[in-house]
Amino acid sequence: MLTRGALIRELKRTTSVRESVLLDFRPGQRKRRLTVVLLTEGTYPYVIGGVSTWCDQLLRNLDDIDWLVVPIVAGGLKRQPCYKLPANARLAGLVDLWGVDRRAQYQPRVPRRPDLAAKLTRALLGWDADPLELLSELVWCHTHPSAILPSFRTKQSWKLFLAALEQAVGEPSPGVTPGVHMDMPTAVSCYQTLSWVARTAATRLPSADVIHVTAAGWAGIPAIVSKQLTGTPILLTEHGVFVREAYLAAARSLERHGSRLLATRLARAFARAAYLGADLVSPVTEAHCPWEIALGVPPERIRPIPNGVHVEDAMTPPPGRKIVVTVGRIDPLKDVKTLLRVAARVLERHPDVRFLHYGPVSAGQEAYAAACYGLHDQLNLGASFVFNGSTSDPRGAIREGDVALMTSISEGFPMAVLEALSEGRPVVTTTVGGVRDAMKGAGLTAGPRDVEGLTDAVCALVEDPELARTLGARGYARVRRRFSQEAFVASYRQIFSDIAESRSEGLRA
Amino acid sequence: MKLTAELAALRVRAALGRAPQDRLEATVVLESWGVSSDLALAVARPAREASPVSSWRPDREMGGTTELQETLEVVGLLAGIMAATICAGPMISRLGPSADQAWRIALPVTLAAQWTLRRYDRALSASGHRERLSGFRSGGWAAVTVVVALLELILLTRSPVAGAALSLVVLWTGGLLLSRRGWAFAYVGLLVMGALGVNLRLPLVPVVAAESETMIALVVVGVLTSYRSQQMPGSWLNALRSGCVGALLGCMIVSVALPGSAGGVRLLGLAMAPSLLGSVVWFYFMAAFWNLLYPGVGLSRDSGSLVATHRMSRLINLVAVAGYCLIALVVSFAALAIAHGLGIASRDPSLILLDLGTIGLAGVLFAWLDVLGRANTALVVECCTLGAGLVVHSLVRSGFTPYAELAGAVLAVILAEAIAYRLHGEPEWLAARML
Repeated sequence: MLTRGALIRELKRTTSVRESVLLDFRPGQRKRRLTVVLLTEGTYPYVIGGVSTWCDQLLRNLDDIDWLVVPIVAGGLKRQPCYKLPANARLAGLVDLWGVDRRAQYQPRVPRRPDLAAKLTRALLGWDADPLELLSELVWCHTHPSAILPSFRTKQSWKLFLAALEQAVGEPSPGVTPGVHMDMPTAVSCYQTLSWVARTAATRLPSADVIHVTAAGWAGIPAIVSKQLTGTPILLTEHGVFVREAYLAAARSLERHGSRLLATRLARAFARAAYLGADLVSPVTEAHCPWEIALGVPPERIRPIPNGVHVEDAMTPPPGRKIVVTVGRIDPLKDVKTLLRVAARVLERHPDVRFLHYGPVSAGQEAYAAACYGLHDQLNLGASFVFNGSTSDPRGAIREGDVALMTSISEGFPMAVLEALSEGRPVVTTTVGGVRDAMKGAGLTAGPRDVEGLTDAVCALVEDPELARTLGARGYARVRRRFSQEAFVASYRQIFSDIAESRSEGLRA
Repeated sequence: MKLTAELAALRVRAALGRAPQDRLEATVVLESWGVSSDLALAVARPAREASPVSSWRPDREMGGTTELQETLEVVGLLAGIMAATICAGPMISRLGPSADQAWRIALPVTLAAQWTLRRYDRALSASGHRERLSGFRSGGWAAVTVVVALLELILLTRSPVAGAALSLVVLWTGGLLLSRRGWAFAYVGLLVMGALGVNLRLPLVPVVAAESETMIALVVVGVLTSYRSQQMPGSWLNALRSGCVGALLGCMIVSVALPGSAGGVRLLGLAMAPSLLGSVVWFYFMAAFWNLLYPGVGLSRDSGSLVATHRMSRLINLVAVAGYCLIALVVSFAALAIAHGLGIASRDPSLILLDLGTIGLAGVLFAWLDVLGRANTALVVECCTLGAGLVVHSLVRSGFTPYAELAGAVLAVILAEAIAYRLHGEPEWLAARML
């Protein structure tokens, strides 16, 4: 982990590098290297997973771009990067939400704005709030970073906030059910969250040609502020629909209702603001487009770019040992409990089948993992279902199996499915996100949480190896044809070039 | 079958067990039933409107399961105090008056170390955490323990007072770490073994050395085998400020034993039991407020519930103080009886108990002010208190002046409680301000 001093030195270094590039810049001279700020949220380079793999692939393959990575993480935890940044990329900042804020010292002489929290509340939590109002407050936070905490620490701020919160959650609207019981602990937690929103807005991003945001959530905040102040264009890539996943998590959670409401309202406000600021939205699947359009993105600003994977010249033969492999984190969104139930049902019919699971426990989901292990025992799965933990070689893990299985309740365009197809393995999966686009005709699907449907699909492939081989071969051909890494990289290169060019034209004009 | 708004509303209601909070939630639920995003977004709004509105109440809090562990910690500490009391007599008779000096040095230093560590290592102070002692894994703590172990051995052979003081610091601070590790009984066992060794007239220096070196070894093993916490440690500045609060509290406690009599010192350990149990009761009341009562408080300022909560908050604060006093009084009588039974009563034992009970209450209030981010206030109050004690001491000018310490402790309680009472006027603001 970078120490604070090292981080500051790194920031100074990257800033000075960028300034020298700017000095060399001549309008019309297009052959210089682009600089892109990559804003990640809870993923790269600290967490292993599909989005992180995607980021790593992008950075390594677009080596004609200088990448400045700014991760947004949460919880004040000590972290070790899981990925080594390539030579053309460097860490250019770190936003640690809810961590130990060493800037949070009392500063008596800075101007205070007691109405800041109230205005943020209205802009973030009001159902009919205008994202532009939010933007103006965030810009103020950015330009007055030392005034944020003193403002939040005034009692008047708290009183104004309470009134604004009551109004925001109680406002009648056609899209909202009235009668919310908002309790005080939730209000306190909301107040603290707002202070983190303000502090995130105060983050200074290094200057760049493009800001690439990888989630329409917290990561969008510094990006839209930076765009407002410097005009740096934003490319937003959505892997899963941020709002949708927030609602899914809230619907499933045992939190108090007020907490659920705040979590979803915040997610909605973040997403709307990110959509407003983004010059181009590039979801990883067309399946996300209806959500993005419904939340205000004009269709002409959406350009889906499916993920791509490296495909070998020939697919590897399946081992033929009736092994079903799953690669994915232990996380409620991956619905591991359904996976276990499917395994139990399959084993009733075919006791010789073995299930191998590869993937770490998501941060903060230790209780869920414990519940999954408990269910594993309860279902007497024993050695027939093995949790192998994290793997640095997901493709090697897939090659161990004859069938790949995925039971997620929310996905974008899952790398695990693409990797399985590229290895010539048939896939059994739930029909979520862009999965259908990825594996049309190359696997079997069932609805999310449909244990019987998924069981039938797995059994069909186990019972008929010929069918499995045919589907695997189709998948391999499909990935090779449509989802190659080269096509993926070329699409992004084109997008960055287009955005930077339109910015240059704007500057020249 | 065509998905109508009514059918969609029924599906959403069935999935959630309540009405959706808004149309996006309805959309998500419909999607999870296999409805395409386009269709779900289209029918979700009418589906939400077709849902009967229900009044939502806060869900039940997910309770923690740390009571047993906390009880064990308290039992461990009590047993530790008893063991220390038993071992004090023979130690004093062997070391002479220098044992008194060792106690007086060790107690403030220990409290400073304990308060600093608790504040610095957030996992250490978090109740019920599986990940403990996190801050000690990454730093140079191993080197520190080796240096302390060596220093202690040298001091014990050269200067028994300094050596004994350092041993006590090691024992008590290590005891906190072991208790948080869940090894309170190892701590107690160590103290009992030490007490037995001293009472059996074994050579003092080897016994004390073996006891504290074993403690260091246990701490090392405890840290190495604890869960690896990913939590970042807190700020050193805040930790040192808390350490100062602890050190001054330690000074207040040792000032009670000023007469230098062996009886006073021997009674000191036993006399801490009432304040310890009283503080458990105090924190029980405060936890009851924050965990049970406070989560149900509504937001509306017009409903009256908020005003009622503010009153309740202050009332519970006073009840907690009363609870402390009651328990401390009852346990003091028991301690007095034990002291007489063991023959360790000094001059005015009841006054010493009263002194320590009052200082204990002040200590609880200082700890509370520290938790509420008012460490500076606690420091100022402590300085005033010690100053007042010295003034009374100089005015009375007699050898043993427990009234001076009592006056100081009473002043500390009045000041700290007045501030705490005022802060409890709006408990939600206290919580919100912790940014």
